[in-house]
Amino acid sequence: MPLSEVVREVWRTWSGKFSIILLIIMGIGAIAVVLGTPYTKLSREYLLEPTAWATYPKAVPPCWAVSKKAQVINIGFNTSHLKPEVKTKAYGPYTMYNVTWVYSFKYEGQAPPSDTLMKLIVHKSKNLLAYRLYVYMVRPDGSVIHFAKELPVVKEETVILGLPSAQGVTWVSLSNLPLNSAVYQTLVESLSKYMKKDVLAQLGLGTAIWCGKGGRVLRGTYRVVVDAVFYVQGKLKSLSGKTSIYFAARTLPNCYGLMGTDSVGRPVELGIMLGLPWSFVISFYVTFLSAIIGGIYGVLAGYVSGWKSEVLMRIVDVVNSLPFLPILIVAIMALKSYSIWLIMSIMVALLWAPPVIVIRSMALQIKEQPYVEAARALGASTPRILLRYIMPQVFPYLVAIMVLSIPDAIIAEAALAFLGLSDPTVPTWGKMLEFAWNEHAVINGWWWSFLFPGLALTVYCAAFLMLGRALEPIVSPRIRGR
Amino acid sequence: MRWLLAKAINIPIVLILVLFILVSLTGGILDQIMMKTIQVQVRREILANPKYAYLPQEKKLEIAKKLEEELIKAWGLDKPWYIKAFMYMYMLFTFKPIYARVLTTRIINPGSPNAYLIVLERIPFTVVLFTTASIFTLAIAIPLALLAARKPGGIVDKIVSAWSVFSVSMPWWWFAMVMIWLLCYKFPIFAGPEYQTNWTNPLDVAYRAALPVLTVTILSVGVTAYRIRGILLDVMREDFVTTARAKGLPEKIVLLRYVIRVAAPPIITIVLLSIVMSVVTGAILTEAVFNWYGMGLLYWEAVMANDIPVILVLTYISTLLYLVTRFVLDILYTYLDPRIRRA
Repeated sequence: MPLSEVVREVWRTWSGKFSIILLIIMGIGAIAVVLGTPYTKLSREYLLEPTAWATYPKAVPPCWAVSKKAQVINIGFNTSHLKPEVKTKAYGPYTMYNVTWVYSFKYEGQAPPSDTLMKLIVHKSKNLLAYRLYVYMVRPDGSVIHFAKELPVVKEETVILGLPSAQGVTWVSLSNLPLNSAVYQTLVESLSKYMKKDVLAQLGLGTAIWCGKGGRVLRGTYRVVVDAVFYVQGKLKSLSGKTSIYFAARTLPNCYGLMGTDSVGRPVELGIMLGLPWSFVISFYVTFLSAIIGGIYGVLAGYVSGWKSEVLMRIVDVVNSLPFLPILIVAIMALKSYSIWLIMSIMVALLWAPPVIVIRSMALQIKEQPYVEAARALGASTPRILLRYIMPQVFPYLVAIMVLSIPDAIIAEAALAFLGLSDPTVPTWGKMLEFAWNEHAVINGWWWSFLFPGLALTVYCAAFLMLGRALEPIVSPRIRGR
Repeated sequence: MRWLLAKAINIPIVLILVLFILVSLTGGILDQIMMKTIQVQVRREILANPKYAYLPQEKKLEIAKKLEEELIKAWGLDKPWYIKAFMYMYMLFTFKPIYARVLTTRIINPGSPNAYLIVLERIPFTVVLFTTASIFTLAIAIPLALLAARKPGGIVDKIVSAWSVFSVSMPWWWFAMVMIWLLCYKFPIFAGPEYQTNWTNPLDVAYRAALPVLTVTILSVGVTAYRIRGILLDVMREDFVTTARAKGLPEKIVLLRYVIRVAAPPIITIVLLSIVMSVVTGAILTEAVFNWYGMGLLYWEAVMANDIPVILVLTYISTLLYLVTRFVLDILYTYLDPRIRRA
């Protein structure tokens, strides 16, 4: 049967049409992902570099599922550009300076942000003594949240909030402050005046600073007040260049994209996108190789007769009796190698046997056909008869078997990934599910982080399964004959 | 009878091959475990023995080393790998106790590190879970398949077909996660996986079992109904069905009296085989997700703890179970199907 006719036959059924359309979309998608994005860089970042996702909101739902959205504000100011209010007082030879800067902004989101990133860096010149810093935020309802309270500044450059790195100071998340840091303790102390401890723990500090009692968002004008107190021997001519404070805050949205983010901040849709090409690689490698091996083996077992055939089928029986997933697990754990190529090869070693029985029975029928006998009479060699006369007859059915076993291969890979036995450098959907499960996404209610990868797996497998089921009656001579 | 004998001979052959694969894969790790066992035993003995109490530490260690070497020779650990492989195979084949690295029993003789006991105490839970689910599945799938087979291409047929596509295409453990999220946390109806269950109290176990049984049933109904429908349709193409229809019998009677009778043996075999398959292999992650105290969870725990001896025993036992059940099913099939019995 020519290929175009097969395609037309498949297209005639409703499920065949559906699966062909889905497969074309997924195929184009996979090619687009590999060619259109920096794929290797993205997957390396996705899997191995959690710092790349620092400025992404953590574990937030997709945007269409959120009715009240937070506002993303991005403020940053340097006190040297603001007009200070200066009070001085003389103590003998020393003068006390009390310098105050105020910066105001508006927050008008309908919901609090999922987290707040901040930087707070103080510069001062050497001759400022006993430098003490006060940083607080006056909220629309008049309540005051302290970030720094009487914080001593000794060094000329002090990073109070922020993570010093090679690229300069990077953001620090308020919800993930180290518990022993001064800022954390000051923040908790001032926040616990306005809300209960358990509400605070549930919200996280990065959210709580925008919330009033009971966790409702406070909208309106916020004022950040920076207050520095220091002593100088004698008197300063002017303040400029003596001290400056850099304060920056960035709120993270409470929703992200189409499918939300996981608890590291990685967008779920990115994971699904990166997993798609690998799904094709894994399923095609495993099913193609096992169909080819199983096909040749089955044809051979049908062609030879007597004890040879018996021995060949006994071997198939043994391989078919092996419990697939347990053997896979034992093999990978024992070999202590999680390379994806090794995993796929072990799968091939176990999956070539199931199609053999059907292929053999087909070969048994075909070898009795007159044209095969004629070829043999003309002196064609056994390999030639197998590959040129019998194999082409079996081939269409082999393709159907291959397509039908794609779900087995891809679900087995996902199961291995779920057990943690997967290649650390390969982004797969199973790995996303493993991560979601290990981060307690089910208990925490982060449904987007496990629902979408699983749906992707299901849709992918269903497309091939429907294609296989539409293909089977067309290519199978047994059924077609009836 | 000849083929029955052939099948019976098949069991030990397959078993020996499975054992060979398992042992040759894990041999190196088993060696290490045995060496460690010997070392610990010898050190303990030497240090506790009052006869050596006056000797200096180096002397003690020297004696220990000598004893260790003797024991290694006595146990045969110095032999080449192929002999050791047979040794380990024999050890597994005769159920000699193998000790787990980390895991211990909790119900039978709590605290015992015997890997066989660890596996044995889990088997009933897995069997109970999947047998219950299968009974529900059959109760739903058989009527559904009959309805679907009555009108191929009809609405019921389409539903069964779509249902089977989805239950084959989704990882069952993922569906279990979704069900847990939906029915334990979003709408708290069932006991969640973190519920502290008293595994010796049947009532408590039944409460815990409700959601796993529901989940497995939902998924397996699709697959089972689709398979039964296929068998029924195959039988309905036979000549005697055409004859029965030609006699003017109503379709209902043709299905229930003629078709079912012939289709019963393959249906029973396929259904039972799929139960065994899910007990032995398919349930690994589903049970782990539900935190159900069965063999599947044990697989998960053993993988997480890197407990190779337990995995070895577990795979061995499940292969054994699978082979024996398949053999019993073959006999059952012969008994049920007169065509094969006579042949």
